Amino acid sequence: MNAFVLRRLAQLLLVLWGAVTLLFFLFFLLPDNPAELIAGGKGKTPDPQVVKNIEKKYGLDEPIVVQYVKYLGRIVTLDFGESYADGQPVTQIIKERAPASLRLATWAILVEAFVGIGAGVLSAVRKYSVADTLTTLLAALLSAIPVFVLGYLLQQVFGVHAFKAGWPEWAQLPVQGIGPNTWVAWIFPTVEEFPYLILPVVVLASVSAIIVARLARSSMLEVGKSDFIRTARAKGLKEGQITSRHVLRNAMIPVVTFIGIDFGVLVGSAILTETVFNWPGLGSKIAQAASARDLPVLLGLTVVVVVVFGLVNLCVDISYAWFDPRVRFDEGGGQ
Amino acid sequence: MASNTSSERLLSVQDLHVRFETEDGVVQAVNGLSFDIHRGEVFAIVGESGSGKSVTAMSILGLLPSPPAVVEGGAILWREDDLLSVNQQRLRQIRGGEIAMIFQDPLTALNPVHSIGRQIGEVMRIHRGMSKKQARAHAIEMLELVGIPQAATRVDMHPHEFSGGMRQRAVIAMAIACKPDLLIADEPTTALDVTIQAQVLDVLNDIKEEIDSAILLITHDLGVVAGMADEVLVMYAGSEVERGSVDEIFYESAHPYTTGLLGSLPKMNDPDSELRPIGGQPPSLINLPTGCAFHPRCPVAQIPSPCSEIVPVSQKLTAKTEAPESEHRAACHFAQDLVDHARAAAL
Amino acid sequence: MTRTSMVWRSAVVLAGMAVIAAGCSSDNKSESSDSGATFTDGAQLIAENLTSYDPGLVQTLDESQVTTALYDGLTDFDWSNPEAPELKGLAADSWTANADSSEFTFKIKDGLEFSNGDPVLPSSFAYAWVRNGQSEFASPYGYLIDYVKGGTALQDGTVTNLDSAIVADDSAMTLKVTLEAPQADFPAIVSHPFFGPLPEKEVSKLKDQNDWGSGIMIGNGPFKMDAAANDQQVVLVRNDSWAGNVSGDTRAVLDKLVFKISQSQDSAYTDFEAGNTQSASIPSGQFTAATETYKNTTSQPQLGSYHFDFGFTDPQLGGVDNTLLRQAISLAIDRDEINQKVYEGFRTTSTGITPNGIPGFEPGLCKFCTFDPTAAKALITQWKEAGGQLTGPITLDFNTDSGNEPVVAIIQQNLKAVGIDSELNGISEKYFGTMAEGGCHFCRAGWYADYPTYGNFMFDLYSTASVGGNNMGSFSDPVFDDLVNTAQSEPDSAKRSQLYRDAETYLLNDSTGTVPINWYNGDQVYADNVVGYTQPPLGIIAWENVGIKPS
Repeated sequence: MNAFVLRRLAQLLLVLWGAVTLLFFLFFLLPDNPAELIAGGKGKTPDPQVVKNIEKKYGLDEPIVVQYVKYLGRIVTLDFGESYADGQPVTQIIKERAPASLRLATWAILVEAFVGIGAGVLSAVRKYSVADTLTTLLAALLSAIPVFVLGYLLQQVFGVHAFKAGWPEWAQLPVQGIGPNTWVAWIFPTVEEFPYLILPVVVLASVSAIIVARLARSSMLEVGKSDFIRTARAKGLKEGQITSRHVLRNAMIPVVTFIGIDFGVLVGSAILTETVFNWPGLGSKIAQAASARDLPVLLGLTVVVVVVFGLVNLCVDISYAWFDPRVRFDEGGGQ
Repeated sequence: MASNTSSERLLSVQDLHVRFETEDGVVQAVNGLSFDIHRGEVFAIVGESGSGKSVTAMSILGLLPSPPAVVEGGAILWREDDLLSVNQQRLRQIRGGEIAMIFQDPLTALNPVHSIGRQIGEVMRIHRGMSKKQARAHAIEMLELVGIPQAATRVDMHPHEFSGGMRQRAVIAMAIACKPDLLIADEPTTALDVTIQAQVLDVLNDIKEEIDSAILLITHDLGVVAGMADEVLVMYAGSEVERGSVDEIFYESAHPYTTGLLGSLPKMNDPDSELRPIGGQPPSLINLPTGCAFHPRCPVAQIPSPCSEIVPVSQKLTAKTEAPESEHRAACHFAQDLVDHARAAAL
Repeated sequence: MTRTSMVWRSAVVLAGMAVIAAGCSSDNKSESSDSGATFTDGAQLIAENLTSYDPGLVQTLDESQVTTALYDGLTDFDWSNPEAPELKGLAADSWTANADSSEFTFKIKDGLEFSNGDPVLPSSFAYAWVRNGQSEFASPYGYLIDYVKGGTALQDGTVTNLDSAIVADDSAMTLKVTLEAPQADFPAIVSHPFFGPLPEKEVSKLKDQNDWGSGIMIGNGPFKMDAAANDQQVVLVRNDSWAGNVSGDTRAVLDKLVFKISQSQDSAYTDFEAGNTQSASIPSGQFTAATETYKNTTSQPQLGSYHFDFGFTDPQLGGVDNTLLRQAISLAIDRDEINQKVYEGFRTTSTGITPNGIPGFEPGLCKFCTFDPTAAKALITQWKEAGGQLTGPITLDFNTDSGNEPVVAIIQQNLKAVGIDSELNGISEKYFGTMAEGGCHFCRAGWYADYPTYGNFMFDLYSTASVGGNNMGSFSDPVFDDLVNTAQSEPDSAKRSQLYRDAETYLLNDSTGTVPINWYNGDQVYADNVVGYTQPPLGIIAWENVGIKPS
């Protein structure tokens, strides 16, 4: 187990290094000179002295390999440099923005998992019922709607329309921002905060929740045909007990795998969701940094995302051990 | 061993019909099968795969997936209850409590994510209302009973940590946990290595003595039957083709199919004897041959008449003098001839 | 000529005028004054336009809304008559100037206080000006200190104080300022937040001056900060120690004023429509719908201009050699199409940079602001014959998410129609800074007057002295600079206006450094129960007058 975790952490470091290297060199492969970007717009030559000063200030006048090695040396000490755009230390940006993203993502994953699995189980147990048909339809519908369109629609319905039509207070949802930003035990929103969380979480969770639901459904039905379910039935278990004790956990194995893999998609959707809802997280900042060619910010935030991604996947893998005892950690993951 | 017709009748299957409504057509899996099982008896149903023997076993406990399976006609009487119409609550009491099942493939029959102990204990928790702790202790006993060493340690292991033979022992332990009155063993040794097979059969025999239950043994292997069974029912294409005591089946086979099955059995005392498998393939259950379903593969068939034209009815055969209560029957136009021939050969 | 001191007129009369101008009765205001009202604004702050609310760093109109609610400067304009704004003392009781307008003495009112109880003294101003103008602070408006004698050296970092030029006498309550050059408009210029007071005791404690703007800033305006600003909102509450405005109001109507920060005008508008904010800018394309849906929209003409500047460091567009091309580009653009299609006719197609409402304004200065593709093509041919050559597409710079996308799309089409290829360069962050630092090619620019003077458009936007500041295209022309400099020191207002018009005519027609597109009109919408919400020509709302009608 420990060896497994250590090996995975080593892999994560390798991935990190790869991601940083790739981004770093891609950035410098761009036809733009970073110093000129800072000094002015693209494709033009600002005052050469200004460019020189900027190059010196950011060490951009050194050979790219030297810059790269220096950068690696710095990030090892968790120094990601300063934003080209406004000189704010990247660690500061991360500190300020990471909590909002982590909270949003955590709730989105929880909703994705619970709603998705719940709907999947329901439609598997009540196969071909109204609920099953409904989730199937909803799945087709939602998976066809891009995140930002869904966000806009929900804003119009639960924000604008709810307000104009005089819906009850609790049904009128905020459409912008994080609100009072007050949390209990770091992760639980206060009563005042809660409404602000609803729409962003729903949008972020929706697409994947639907996939989770479909996956959970088919996985449940598949497991339901297994011999050991027949065994359970032959033992005299009630159908509900069969589902909860025997089908569910086996059916969750592919679902948990998916949720782990899907975390990457979630990060991508978070960039859009955070922008649509003005959620002050890392995602919206990554989008800004990318278009502003703000390399230190882009690299710094990417490192954070890759680390979180790696850790989440590690957690998912460890959770396999619970879901599926056949997964062994100490023997290269074989059975 | 003689049949115990005089002892308490536990199960009575009467005119059982099972069909599967598939996209390709209606599969007639079981056609009007009837048999009784009495306390302490080992009743074997023998046949090739697809003969309907497993379907019969499944239909007793209502384990066939429906759709596509349709069980109809007749009755499956378990003591006073007709299992085809009994309410769910009673059915659950019977399942695992009064009738337990041992499945063919112990690997797939066990839930991979739960420990062996939990799966054995679960039966007791449902039927005996045991606590988790009691159930675990009982599970250890059961594992010991089926001859698993270091049961106290192994009880917490998962199925994938067991060998094939141990897994089947665990499945047996699970089945006998509540000391059921009837144990349905569906091909209990088929998935096992030959060396393990014998051990598992020994376990089954011992258990039978231990808990005094009847066993319905489903197998294609007449070797297994010879070692265990009292009564034997031979099925072909969903119907009974021959029935009798184990001796009658082995020594006075009255159906060419039974003879064929025996011919495909390696003879322990004559290792050089040639194995003679039955030629041809089992028929399609969607579209059975006319007349006797076995006639296309039958070495003694007289075609066209009567074999490809007239469905043979099961006829009672003349009993030997030393077993006057014999219920030896076979569904072949030449059954009596074959019996006579066999008796003559034995002399 | 000595300028006589500004007479502090009857506050009662002015208060009445201001209220009428604000379009509501004083009854409304008194009704709402004690209702414990909170106003949540969604119209002012768009994230990408924000860097700091520090009066020394404030840069955009967005930021100024907050800063002016927090700080009162020496003077302010009374907009009771929008056609003829009147400059009055705010923290200053009166002021005098010497003969050539190169030396001013402001008399500061007695008893003024910051919200923490510290007195507002002449030295509070002197301290703030030097602090805002010092080189390491790098204020985008740092050039404003250049008006003061020695200010350029302070900006360069060669001196660290202006003790001889700014003399604060806290016992006599006077602030004497010696200017670098004559500037008759100086009392108007000091109405800019840059020249506001700061509580020296608090500010001087900070090691890094940038921390002032990121903390709870203490000011002397109608509101005070409730908490430090974050990237979601700025929360202000009434400052009970406020002295009052030029109209005689002495108490902000609202208890609480929240500026909510949005990512774009569109999302801010959605937020308003959802009832979460009480005001919003109307996004382009929705003017008609918004005015039909909401009864309260601001539509007064604003002292603002929307235009495109040429980057004079761009070899293809800048310089004397390319004047013909610039003129052709200006002629090629269909300003009416932009106004109709993008702004639904809610703006005023412009004929110059300086808008109506600025003293000295005259319409029709620009010769190349008509739509004439044929003439444009002819000019291009002429330019090419003179050796001009397009080596590649020209770049259209604009800031994203501010409604510029459809405008540049039309311009791109217009240019294509006369044979000029262009590519779009949308910038999402620090647009104005990037442009000012030499990033402009053909770049979207906009300007709201800091104070209603002609010089605020000419000098601040196009003088050589403003390069690196608000002169986005780095336009630099000695003829233009001469005209503006002469105008600045001309005490006679009619002559001064003529000089400024000459300068603008030269800018538009002779060197063609910029392409006017339109002049702003008020474009904000506010909730039914809001009173006193007006967008005065300078664009900065008098927040002290905003109130909520009790329901």
